[in-house]
Amino acid sequence: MIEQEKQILSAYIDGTLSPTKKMEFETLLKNRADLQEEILRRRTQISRMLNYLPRVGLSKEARENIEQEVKSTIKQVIDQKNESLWERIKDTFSR
Amino acid sequence: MKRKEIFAFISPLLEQLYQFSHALLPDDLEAEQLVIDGVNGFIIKEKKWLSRFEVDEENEGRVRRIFFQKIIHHIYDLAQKRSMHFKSDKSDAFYELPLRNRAIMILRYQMNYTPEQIEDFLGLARWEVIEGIHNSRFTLMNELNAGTL
Repeated sequence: MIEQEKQILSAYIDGTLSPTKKMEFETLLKNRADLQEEILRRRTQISRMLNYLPRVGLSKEARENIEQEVKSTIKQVIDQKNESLWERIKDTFSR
Repeated sequence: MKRKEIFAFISPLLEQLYQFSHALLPDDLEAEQLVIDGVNGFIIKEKKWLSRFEVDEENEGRVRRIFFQKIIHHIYDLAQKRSMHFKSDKSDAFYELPLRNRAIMILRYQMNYTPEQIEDFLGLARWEVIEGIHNSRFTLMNELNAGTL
């Protein structure tokens, strides 16, 4: 495997190849068992490593809290424009 | 866009936003607050756009992506500021990575976004995203090979 191929292979795995280059590389791959093997090896390594990325779920309580806060902000911010000038002045001085 | 429509766009994103936030500030309450503040920041900053914008079937997918991109950006900015005062008790190799690389890794490998999308989400240059992916992978692979993970 030449150096240039290694670079393209890395970019292919990273998903940074342009669509044209990706297609070209995939055509080349069909006749290159060594490249296919290397891709498989690297993908296996990556998937092993990915098992160690944290997977955190959003609890029901946390979701409810967030949703409540978001709803309240949307109400305050988006409805503000509908208030009359008088309401806004009154609101400012009543704080 | 009406109140209900805005909420309907945000609600399905909460799971991913929380996962992202938790990777940056690994504490349940801190992550929850980070999501709230990120979403609120987005609503306040984009108030005019949200009020005027009309959603139809054609632009729905694009709008959803814009929501996600902008909220992630807010969360990332806030996390950068808060991380200076945040002390994590996590000792896993993942949490030893710099905050930026944790953000990149979660978006790339847990949420399957492309490096190009991650550039937009985090406001980074392409090389910074690629470097983040490579450095993080290298670090985690070394830990894995050393058997410390």
